[in-house]
Amino acid sequence: MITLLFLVLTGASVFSLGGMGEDQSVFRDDFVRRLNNAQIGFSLRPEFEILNESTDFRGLFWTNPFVFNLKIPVTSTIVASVGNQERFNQAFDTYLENDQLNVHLVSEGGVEEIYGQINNRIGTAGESGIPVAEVYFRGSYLFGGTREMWTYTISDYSIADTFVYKYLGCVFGGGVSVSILSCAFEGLGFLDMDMNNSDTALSKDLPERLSIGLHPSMNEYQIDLVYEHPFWSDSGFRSVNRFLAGIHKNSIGIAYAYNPWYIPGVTEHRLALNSRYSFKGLGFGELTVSAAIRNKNSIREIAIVPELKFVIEEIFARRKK
Amino acid sequence: MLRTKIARNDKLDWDCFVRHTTWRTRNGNVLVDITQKLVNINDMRKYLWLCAVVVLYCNKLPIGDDEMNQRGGFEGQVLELQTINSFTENKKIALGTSGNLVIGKGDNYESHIILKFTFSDTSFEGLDEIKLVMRINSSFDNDTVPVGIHILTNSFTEDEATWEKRSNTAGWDSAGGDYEEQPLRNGVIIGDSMVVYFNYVELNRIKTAQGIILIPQDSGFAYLYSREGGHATTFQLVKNGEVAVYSTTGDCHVLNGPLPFYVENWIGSGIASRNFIIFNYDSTLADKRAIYGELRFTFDSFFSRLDSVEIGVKELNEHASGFDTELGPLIALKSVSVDDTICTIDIVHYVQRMIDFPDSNFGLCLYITPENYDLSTVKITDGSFRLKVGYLSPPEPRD
Repeated sequence: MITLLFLVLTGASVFSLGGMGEDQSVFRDDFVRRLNNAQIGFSLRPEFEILNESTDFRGLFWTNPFVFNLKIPVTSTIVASVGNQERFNQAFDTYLENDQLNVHLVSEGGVEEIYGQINNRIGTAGESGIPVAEVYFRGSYLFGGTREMWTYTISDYSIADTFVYKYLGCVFGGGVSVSILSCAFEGLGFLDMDMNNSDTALSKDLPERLSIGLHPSMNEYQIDLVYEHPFWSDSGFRSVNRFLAGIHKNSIGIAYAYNPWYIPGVTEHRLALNSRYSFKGLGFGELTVSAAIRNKNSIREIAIVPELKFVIEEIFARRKK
Repeated sequence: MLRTKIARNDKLDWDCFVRHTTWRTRNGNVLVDITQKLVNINDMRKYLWLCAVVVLYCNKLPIGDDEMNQRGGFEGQVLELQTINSFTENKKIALGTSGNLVIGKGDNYESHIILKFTFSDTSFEGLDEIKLVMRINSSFDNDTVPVGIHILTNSFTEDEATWEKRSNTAGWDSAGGDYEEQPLRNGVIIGDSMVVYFNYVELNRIKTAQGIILIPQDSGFAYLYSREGGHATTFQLVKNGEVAVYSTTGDCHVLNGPLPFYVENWIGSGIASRNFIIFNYDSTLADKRAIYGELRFTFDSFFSRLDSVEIGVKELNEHASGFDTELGPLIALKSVSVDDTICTIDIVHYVQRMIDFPDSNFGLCLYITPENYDLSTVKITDGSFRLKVGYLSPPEPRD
């Protein structure tokens, strides 16, 4: 199920404080498979977080800006796509208390991505219209910025520092799917980072990433199994194995993802429920409710994300008429 | 029509959250008996989740502070910096731009008011009244001050006149202003204004003179509005019920008073005194982030006609070389009551600048702001300066 494989993880996780933040591009599926009409999609992903440590609980709410994507079948086999998404999320809000010192850190922003993609489908299998094989190539421009506001308080005195990071970079990806097997690879990615009040600019290599998927059908059930492995060159980050398993029937689906983060010590388990509603002559809507639990040492984070997606189909073609 | 007196009886039962209301006639018969539920428990339960959400999402518990520690070891530290030197520089500044005109004497201070009028060339015949009107600034604690109004015998420049000088290039023959010994008139500053009446002869003398000067004849101080203060002193010439008003074309006060020894710590307005302090830079602070710099000192004595004065702090842009040492922008401002004995001011910007540029630690300057508004002097207890600095190691940038 495409939507479930598009299990883009959104958030304002406290664990985003390290590294480049929360990787939003895991288990990404760029195959279009059966697509005959142009589509414009909009997604909104509010996120409810509950932080837990020992007997303390704290809630956070966050919402990401609209995610947009456009897919146009240029010919019967070629599909061109453009869109945006958040690549790394660096948003969080957390407090520290240490004797007489209190620190409040609020961070907003992250690394955004604008991508352009070409998919080429080869042959179709039976009446389903699913292509026998598919090849795609994607180029992504990465940009964005983060603003960290550190507020320190001792006694009655308080002062704030603001760190502003600016990012620029790119990454490329491609993939092949044949029958029920899919394989995608991403590489040549880098990210330049500038920070205010600093003369030095950092350049980071993004990890290469290999994804292998199996998408068999059994009776009316569609099964998705995905394995993903990034290859970090930075020794401070982990190159971990990630798994996703999903099943759906008609317009209902469920998926589970095991997603240990590249940041050492952080593990995540996520469960997602998806339902799809068609709007005749207009498109369809999807509601995906996912719940994730993340752990690192004694900190537990529960994230609940009701994702709303609305897709308009073939609107240009109808206007031409 | 039957008229019956009835009585109402309410009984609250908080165990069951109900109210029993009984209406009875005078003879005790029950007319109506109503039982109302005060609170519906089920309704309350419906909103429990909302309360939980509010509690959950509004708290500021430091959960995840271990995560923050990966960006640095956050530990608040406190350090006291030692004073290298403190001293006072003063200057009898020109007070022509002040919003007030101060007159009086006492406590070794003395202040005169100098006024200049420009009248039209028309002859003033048949005037019914000639009066000088000055308005008192009631935001000060004013005394009743008898004054003598004298003819000024030497010209003055409003923006440049001081006790010793009538302009930047010329001094008074006698300090405090050159004037005729015999007063033209006497007046008393009392209430909310001073009004002094003149005759033709006196008016003509004022018209041809360099101005008039008001000399206090007894101890006490009074504050009058200057033309910069919004209520200029006026001459009002009344003729047949019509009033011609002539405002001052120049007004100022000149002030004399005690001066501090160089090593004493004074700050003052009127006779401007600036206190310069230099604190020793401690290398412990290298690469640290100052959270506060609490400058604390005690007051020895106050001389002011205000309830409070504003103390400003500026950094020095160069080594202190006198009253006119180049100063940086205002970094702190504190209003202190004349009853206060201790003053604390946060000068974290000075401390952070000292950390960032230890070679440019020229010190800081305390002064009363604005320096020309009134006559105030604050004596700071020698050796009472303390600078306590709260700091931490700044967070490391994201890598």
